[in-house]
Amino acid sequence: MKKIIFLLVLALTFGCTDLKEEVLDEALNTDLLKGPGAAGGILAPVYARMNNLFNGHEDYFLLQEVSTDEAIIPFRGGTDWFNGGVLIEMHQHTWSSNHNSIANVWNQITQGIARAGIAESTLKTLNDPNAALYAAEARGMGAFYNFVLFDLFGLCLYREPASISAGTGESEVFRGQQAIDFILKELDAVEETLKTKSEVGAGRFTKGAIWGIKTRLYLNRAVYLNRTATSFTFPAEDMNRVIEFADKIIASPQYRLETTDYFRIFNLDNHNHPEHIFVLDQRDDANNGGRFTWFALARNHQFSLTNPQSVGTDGGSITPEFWATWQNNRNDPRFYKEVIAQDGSVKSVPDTRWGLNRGLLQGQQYGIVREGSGFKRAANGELVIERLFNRARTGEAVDFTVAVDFDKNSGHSTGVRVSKYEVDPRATNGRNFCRVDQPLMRLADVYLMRAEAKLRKNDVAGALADVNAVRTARKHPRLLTTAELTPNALFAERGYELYWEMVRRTDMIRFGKYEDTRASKTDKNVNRRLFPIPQTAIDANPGLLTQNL
Amino acid sequence: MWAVRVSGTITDAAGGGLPGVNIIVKGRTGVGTTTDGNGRYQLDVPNDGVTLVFSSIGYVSQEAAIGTRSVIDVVLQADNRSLSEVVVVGYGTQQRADVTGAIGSVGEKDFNRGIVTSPEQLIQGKLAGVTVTGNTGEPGANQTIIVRGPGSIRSGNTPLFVVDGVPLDNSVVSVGTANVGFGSSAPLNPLNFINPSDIESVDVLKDASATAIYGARGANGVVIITTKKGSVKKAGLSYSAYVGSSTVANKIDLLTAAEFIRFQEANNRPANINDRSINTDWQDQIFRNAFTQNHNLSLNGGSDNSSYYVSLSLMNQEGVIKTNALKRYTGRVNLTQRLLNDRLNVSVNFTAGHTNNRAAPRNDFAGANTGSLIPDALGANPTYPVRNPDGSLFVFPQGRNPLADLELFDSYARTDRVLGNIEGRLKLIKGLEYRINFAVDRSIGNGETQTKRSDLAKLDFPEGRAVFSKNESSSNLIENYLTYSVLRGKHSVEGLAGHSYQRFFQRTNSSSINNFSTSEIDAIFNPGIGTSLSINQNPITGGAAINELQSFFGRVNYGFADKYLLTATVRADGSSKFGQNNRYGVFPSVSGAWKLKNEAFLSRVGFLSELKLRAGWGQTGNQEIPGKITLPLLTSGIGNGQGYPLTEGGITPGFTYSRTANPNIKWEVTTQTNIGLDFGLLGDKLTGTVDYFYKNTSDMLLNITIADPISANGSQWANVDMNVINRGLELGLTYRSRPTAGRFSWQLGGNATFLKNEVQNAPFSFLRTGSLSGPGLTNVTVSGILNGEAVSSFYLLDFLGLTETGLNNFRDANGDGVISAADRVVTGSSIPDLTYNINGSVGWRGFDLTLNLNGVSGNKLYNNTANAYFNLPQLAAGQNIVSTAVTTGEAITNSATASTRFLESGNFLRLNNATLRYNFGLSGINWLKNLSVYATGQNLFTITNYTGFDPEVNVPANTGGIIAYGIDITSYPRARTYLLGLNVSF
Repeated sequence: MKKIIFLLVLALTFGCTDLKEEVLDEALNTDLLKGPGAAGGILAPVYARMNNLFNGHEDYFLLQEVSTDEAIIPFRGGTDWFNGGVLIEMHQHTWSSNHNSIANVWNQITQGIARAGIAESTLKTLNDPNAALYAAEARGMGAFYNFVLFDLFGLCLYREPASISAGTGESEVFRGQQAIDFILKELDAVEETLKTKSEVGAGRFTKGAIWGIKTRLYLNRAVYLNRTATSFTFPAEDMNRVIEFADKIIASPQYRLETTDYFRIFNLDNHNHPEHIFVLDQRDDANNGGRFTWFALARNHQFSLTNPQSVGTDGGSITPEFWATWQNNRNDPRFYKEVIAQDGSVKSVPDTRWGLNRGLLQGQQYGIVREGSGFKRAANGELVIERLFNRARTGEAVDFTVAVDFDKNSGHSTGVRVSKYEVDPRATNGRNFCRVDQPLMRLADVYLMRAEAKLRKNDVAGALADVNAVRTARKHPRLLTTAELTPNALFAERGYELYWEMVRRTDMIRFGKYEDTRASKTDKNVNRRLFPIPQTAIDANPGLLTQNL
Repeated sequence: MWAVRVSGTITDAAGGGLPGVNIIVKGRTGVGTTTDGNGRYQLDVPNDGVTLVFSSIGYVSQEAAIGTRSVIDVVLQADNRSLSEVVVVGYGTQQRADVTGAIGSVGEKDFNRGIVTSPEQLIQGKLAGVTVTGNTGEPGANQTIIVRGPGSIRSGNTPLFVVDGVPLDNSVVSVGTANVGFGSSAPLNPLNFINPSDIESVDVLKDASATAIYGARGANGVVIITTKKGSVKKAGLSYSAYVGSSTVANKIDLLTAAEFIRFQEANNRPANINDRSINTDWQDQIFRNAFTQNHNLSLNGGSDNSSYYVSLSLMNQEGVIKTNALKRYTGRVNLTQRLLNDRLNVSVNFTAGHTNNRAAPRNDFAGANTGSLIPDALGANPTYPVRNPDGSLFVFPQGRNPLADLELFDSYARTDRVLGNIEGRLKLIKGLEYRINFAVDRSIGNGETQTKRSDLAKLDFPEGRAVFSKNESSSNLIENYLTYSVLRGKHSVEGLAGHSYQRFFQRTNSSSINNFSTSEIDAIFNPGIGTSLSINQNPITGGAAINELQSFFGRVNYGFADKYLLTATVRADGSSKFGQNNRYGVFPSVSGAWKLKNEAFLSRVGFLSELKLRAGWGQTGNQEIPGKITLPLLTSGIGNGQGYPLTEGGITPGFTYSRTANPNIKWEVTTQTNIGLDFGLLGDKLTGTVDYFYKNTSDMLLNITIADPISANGSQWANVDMNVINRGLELGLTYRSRPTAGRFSWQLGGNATFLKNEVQNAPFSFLRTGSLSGPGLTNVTVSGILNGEAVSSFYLLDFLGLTETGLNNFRDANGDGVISAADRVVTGSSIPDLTYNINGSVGWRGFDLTLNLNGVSGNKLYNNTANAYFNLPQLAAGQNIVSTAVTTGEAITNSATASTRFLESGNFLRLNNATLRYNFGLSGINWLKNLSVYATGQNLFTITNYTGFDPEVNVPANTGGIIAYGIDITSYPRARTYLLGLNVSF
């Protein structure tokens, strides 16, 4: 009996375990923060959060472009791009606080702010030569994310950096002037430490980026202080500040307007382009970008000679209203750049001369077509150019109409398309890879912002000089005259220059055009100038966050 | 010693001859026979004072010493089944009469018949409160089994399976079909390795008082599978086999070529008409008449001190989709040996199963752009020919010939699983026994999927691609416990106390290669023909996990005067999956029963043969959550928004918090109360059970948004203070006639479960789930978790009909004048209010006929297939659709917006299986004990209004791990099967 009890005790003892979870397939990496190269590893994700946010077609792009006249996505053919109605709701301004993209954008921005705070506090504990600079960049990026949050949702969020990873404390919410003061204070705190574009490149947060944010902030300050006003009064002191910071950028030798080909700003080799002030730097394998051209072009637009599966998707197009703004400006080099003639006159081209047309694509499209595992070729080996048909869906001709809406003109080929950003031929499916740096702030925008500030101060001559400086750089055959330079003309000019660059919503609100009726959109509710805080965030913390109207 | 011949007639109490009664010589193997259709037998027995044993299912066995007699007639008494039945409970067995909890049992006799691939199918519909839903009609498909309603709103609602005392891990053991351009599909059911013919009984522990002995794994119920053991009584060799033929039970009613042409002409779309003389039924092109065969051989026997059961089986089941087939081979050895003058009893159960599945190019989630066999076939233009005159496949001008999918695609998944345990029972002193149980469960899944090189257009990988996957898992169990039983006067006490430790290990990996240099040989046999490997296209992935469970458990059963019974259990479970602050959970239960029939005031009520009242309360846990969620995770990487080019040199990998620590994570707790009544009337001809249960699941484990918007992670696993309530009523009723003199007997039974499921006190207003798939449906969800509604309720725009212009007309539910997501309303539940079963059998002489019907009502199904593929714009674009979708007055541009338009009633009543069997009379044939032949029909008819393939469907459509039931997207159609079988034993 004793023996048996002994055996039992033995069995129990051997069986006992402390149940500490043993992890085999994940490096929990809790010592990562102390290793060599830690400083870069801590800062990189602060910038990397811009991926998806600024290069996804259903993220920031959806909020800034699809809510405006620059983009509309119908339920194509009744079969494609419904996506739970998020695209239609965005265009019609009928979204709810459960809108998936609004929640995604909120989550990405707040994560960016959190990452910035974590990086700032962690970097301060490191003994690394770059630690001070990186901490300043992190804090500056936190302010940038907060600026984007403020523009979209009308609030800024601040949490003591050290308390974020510790999980202590609580965020503070700033709105209105308090938010503006907060952003400015954060930017001022780091400006001195930050480097310049020539030192670190446009992909990092530099002094120039701060000046750019301030230019935008002051230009929109009147809107930010009274979002739902029927009209805005832009105080001269704000406009002076716009001019002050724009001057700093324009005067800097680091930035220069592109003078040969407008589309070079958006080409594969646009890294550190002279016009870039702040960009999402996209390189090999690290991103999932290049979606805007994929999103717009047809399912039978071939993007790459080496990746035959790389085609468009017949998603977004511009509205007839935006098309109409080009009515008397079709000779603008920014409107269209032809690589392959679109009248059937060219029957074949050698590989080296093939490419996609750029700008706004309207009417019947011509291009290369699939044959077997490659492309159809002429007897001389050249790529055959043919009229394109939608072989993936209906068989209809790829003939982009001006008319597009949610009612009768919602087929696969309705709407004029945008081919502004070059497609990376190394993308296997047209959307999974891109080396084009995504501009978030560039010199021509600053010229136009300064022009706007001058115009709002009634310095029409000064404004005209800035607008025409851009037109001259674009080799526009026609410069504007003093008589022509009205606020409406300036708004139109911003559209010509900055279409599909994710500034349109902010512009439309500032120029009082956001509530205008356009293709299948009749809503006039001024409360829609702010997006609702996602319901998931409100539910998680009803005490902290108050829903926008 | 010489043989003498003994003969006689076996009758029941009413005097009718009983066919099929087993007669053996006690203590001798291989000597025995069965009675013929009239109850007569004869047998040659050794003349040395032997004893005969007469046994038949449903009757009390009897023994008779031969002495000098040559004619022995015996009257067998009907077995008062509900009293003498033994129920398997955790860590032991109990007499049914002494059970205080809610436990349902199905014995082999009552199992579902026909082609059965996994054990859950044996009991589908058989037990109140236990719903089994075949996810699809694919051979070997996963079965969703839910006991008393889903308590968790995550995917972990599967009960614990215990096979011969070994709790199994519910994790995946096979590999699924990888995506090579035709979509991917889930791995098959991990329980396919068990040969259903080896199963003796399935017991389902339903209420907390029964499941609390399994503590942290008991919240979803416990399914106990007991395999056949050797016995002297049943000694012999048995062979059983069947052959079956299956066809798709219900094809989808697509437009014929004539209807298709009429529409295209009416809408002036002649380009969609290829050839007016062709009428191709593309469903017929991909479906087939599938052949199945199954063979099972078992050897059974023993001596006074030992017994054995050994079996081998082979099954080859073709799927109704061309190329799909599942093969299975199993072997089993169950042994028991008594040693040390019966003080020590050692038993060994060992089984090994091999399955080899050849999958069809089928997609669980139809992609927005990727094709896949079923949507390709459903949408194929009926005016296209299948092949060109030269025999080659016709290349579709638009879309893809579904036969190309079949020709280019190959996918195999092979799984080997062994499960073995050895159990020792040592009598220490009178009443006290020490038991040890040691078990090993190990499986290896291997598989490969390829698409060959092809010149056909519209392929994702025209140069070819092959994916290789592997899955390895094992678990070890050691349990030590003591049992004690004592009987003092009117008091009886049984006790149990022990310790258990179980360790689970799982490892997976996969690799792939693209662009084959040749099409002469297959890359799945020689991956070396691949010429392209890139990190982007061919990432090598893998993972591994260890989980441990340590438990201490105890149980006391107390009985007084065979009238009052009390059971109390407690289990303390510790799991490595939980946070260090809450590593152990304690799960108590208590229950009692009152045997009213044994009270003096009822003992004289003649028509009442049995009456017992039961009541119980208990708490159980659920640990079906991902591992590692309590630990912080800092990851380093360049992709997924982690790395960024800080220098011109390249991308700096970034460190991000993928998870923050939450050491407080603990079990989800289910508190359940049960009240039940067992009764028998008219000498137990009519028996029944009624149970009411109230199941409250709290401390819900969810990955939820963190309160502070500025946090290292947007969401975190935590226990959310909310409740899911399942309450319901279960009824079970059986009437058995006494066999009459005319040898006619019949039985009619049934069960019904009324269930109400409700979410309460959720701190969130809405959690979305039920992701649709297919073109245009990216990010569309149709279900949600809302307070006051059932888990996974449908939450949709209310479709009112068409406007005058033929466009969708939705109800403006919030009255703001605009139709938007804010107008969605709860429009029904995916969980049936009522699940029921009706079964009956009739016996006459050697014949017996059994029927099994089951049904559900009150639930809705979302027809994602119709939403994605059957709408007018698609027809206008030249794709085929269902004839019912061609509504007069609908504009051909009308959008297929997700709404109640595609929500259908899920009610159905199915004749699940019917079997007619004939038992041959074998009097005079000493060497043959039993011979019977049968014909079975499976899924003979289904009464339903559902327009998809079949209303019994459950495609996993979870969003962020939140469960969604009742969504159907191009699922594998269910088959109708006819089979012929043979059972013979020597």
